[in-house]
Amino acid sequence: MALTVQKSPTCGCCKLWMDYARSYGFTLTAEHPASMDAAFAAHDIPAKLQACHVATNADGQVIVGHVGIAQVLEYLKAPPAGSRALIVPGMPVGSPGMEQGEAFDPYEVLLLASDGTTTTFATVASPTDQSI
Amino acid sequence: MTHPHATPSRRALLGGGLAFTGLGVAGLAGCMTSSTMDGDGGSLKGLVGPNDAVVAQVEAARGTPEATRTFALTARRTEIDLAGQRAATWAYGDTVPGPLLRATAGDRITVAVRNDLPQVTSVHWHGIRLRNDMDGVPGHTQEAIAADGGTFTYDFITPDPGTYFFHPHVGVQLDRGLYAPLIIDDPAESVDFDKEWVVVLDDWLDGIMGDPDTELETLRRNGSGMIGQGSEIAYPFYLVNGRPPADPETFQAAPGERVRLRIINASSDTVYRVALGGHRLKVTHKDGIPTLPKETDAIIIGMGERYDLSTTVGDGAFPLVAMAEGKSGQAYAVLRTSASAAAPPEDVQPDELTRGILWAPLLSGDDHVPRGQERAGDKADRTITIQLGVRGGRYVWTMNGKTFEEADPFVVSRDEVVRIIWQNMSHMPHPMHLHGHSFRLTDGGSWHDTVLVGPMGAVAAQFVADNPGAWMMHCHNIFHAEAGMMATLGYRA
Repeated sequence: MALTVQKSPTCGCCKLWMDYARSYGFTLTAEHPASMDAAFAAHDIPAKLQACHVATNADGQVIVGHVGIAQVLEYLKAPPAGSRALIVPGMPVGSPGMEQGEAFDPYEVLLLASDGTTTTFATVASPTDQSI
Repeated sequence: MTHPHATPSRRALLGGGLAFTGLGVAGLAGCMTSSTMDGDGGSLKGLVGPNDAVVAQVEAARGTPEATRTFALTARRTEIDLAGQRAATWAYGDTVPGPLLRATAGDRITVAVRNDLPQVTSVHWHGIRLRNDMDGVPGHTQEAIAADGGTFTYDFITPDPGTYFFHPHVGVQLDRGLYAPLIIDDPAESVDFDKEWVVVLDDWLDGIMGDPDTELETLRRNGSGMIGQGSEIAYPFYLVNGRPPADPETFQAAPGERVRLRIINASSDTVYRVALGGHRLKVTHKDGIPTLPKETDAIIIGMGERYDLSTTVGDGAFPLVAMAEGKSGQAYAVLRTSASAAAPPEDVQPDELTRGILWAPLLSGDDHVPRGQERAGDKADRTITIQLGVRGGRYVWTMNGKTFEEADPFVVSRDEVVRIIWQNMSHMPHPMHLHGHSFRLTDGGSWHDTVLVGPMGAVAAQFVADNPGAWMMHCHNIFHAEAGMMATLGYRA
C-alpha cells in the first residue's frame, strides 16, 4: 500500500488525489522531477494518455492520473496479465482530486497493455462508480 | 495618432478610466471600444479616484522623506545580443534589464520617463505600496505616456525596503525588454551579507520569434486546449540578467563569503524552479518582506514574485539554474569563487532542483508586519472569493467567469480587514498580483504582493485596506492578464 507519486510541486489537484489515496490507507511519497515529460517517458506513457501525475509501487505497477479508489484497489489486487499501467487521461472534473462542487464529467479508466494498446478497464458514469 | 498594436483590454481600460477621470485624450478616442457586456472593469463610478484628496493625504501620512532620489528613464527601440543572435526590442536605454534603481526606505523618488516607443506606455512600480496616482496604470491612475516623445514624471515615497522591479502596464510590453530591478535598502537591515547578486529572470522571444503582440494573436487563434502543467509559450531563450545560457553571466565571490541573492521573475509566461548547485539556500524575504527564515534546496518563483536568498558560498564554479517549470529549457548563470574551476555545462540540472522545494504557500511569516497592517490577522470584515478560470477552450481567462471588460470592480472600504480567496479552477498556474498592497497568507503564512496559485490550488490572504485608490488585481502571466484575467479593486468613495 505504498506509492511514489511524481508530480509538479505546485499542482493542487495532485495533492488532493494524494490526500484521497492516503484517506484509504495508502502511504504516499511525493517526488518532483525536473521534467514530467521525462517521468511519463520513463514509463512509456504516450502523450494522449498523460495526466498531471504518475504513481508507482514497489511491484512495478503504474497508476496515471485521477484514478478512483475502486479501480485502484481492483487493479492492484489482480493486475491483468500483460498490462503495464492503469490510466485516467487528462483531468476529468469530478474525479478524485478534481471535484468542483456537484459537477461531474463521466470518464473511462483505461488499461495500457505491454504492446501499447489500450482497453477500457471501467466506465465511471457517476461519482459512485469510483468510490467503495 | 494610431495604435496598431493596441489590444482590446487596454482599449477598454483606457475607455473606462477616461469615463471617470475625464482625461481628454482626443487622440485615443478612435481606439476606444464600448463594451456590450454588463460590467466594466475600468469603471470607477462611486470609488476613490487617483486624483482624490485622500490619496495625497495618505501620502503625506507616510512621513517627510529624508532624501529625494532622482532618476531618468527612456523607453526606446534598441537591439541586444543574445549569444551572437541580434534581437530588435524595446528597452529602458540600451540594456536588458534596464538600469537598477536604488533608494532607501522612506525616500522620495522621482523618475522622469520619456517614451520614444511607437506605442503608448507607462511604468508600474511593482510591489511598492505607493500613492495611487503614481501606480502607472493608464486609464486608472494616469493618462498613458504618448508614443514618440511623450513624457511623465513619477514622484512618490517608497515606504518599505525590499526587492522590487518596474515595467510597463500597457498590453504585453512587459514581454519585451522593458523591465529593471528596483532595490529599496533597509536602514535597519537584519541580513548579514558580503555580496549581493541581483538575478533577474526573463523568458525571451522578442525579435527572435516574432514579437509579444503577434504571440498574443497566435495564442488567441489557437485557444487554450492543452491540459499540461506548464504554460503555453515555448520561448527560444530563458535569461539571467539579459543573457542566455550560451553566454552566461559570471558572478564573482570569494569562498566563505555570504552572498545575498535577490531573485526577480520578470518573465511573462514562465514559472521557474531555481537552485544553486552545491548550496543550500535560506529564504529571508518574499516580495521584499522578511519571512521566517527557512532553508531549502530550491524555490519555485512565479511571474512577478521576488525571493531574497542567502548562502555561504563554497570553493569552485557553481551553476545557478532557473528551470522553466513544465517547459524544456532553463536560464543559467555561474557563481565563481575559484579562477581555476571548470564552469559547469550550461544544461546542467543540479540535484538540488529535485530535493526540498519551497514556494509561496510553504513560507511562514515572522514577526515583521508592514506599517499599517497590524490588524491584518483579525477577523475579516469582507471576504472576496475569486475563481480563476478559462473559458471553454478559448484563450479567454476569467475571474468568477468574467473578463476585465465584463466584470465590475471588487469594492472595499477603507480600514476594513479584507480576505481574498483565490481558487484556481484551471490547469495552469496563476501568479496573482495586487497593486499597492501587501497581503499575508492566512494561518501564519508570509507576506506577498504576488502569489503563485498552483493548478487546481487555492490561496487565502488578508490585508488591511489602508491605501485608497483604484488598484489592479491580475494574473501576472501577462498574456492571461491581457486575455481577461484582470480586475479592479476599488475603495468606496
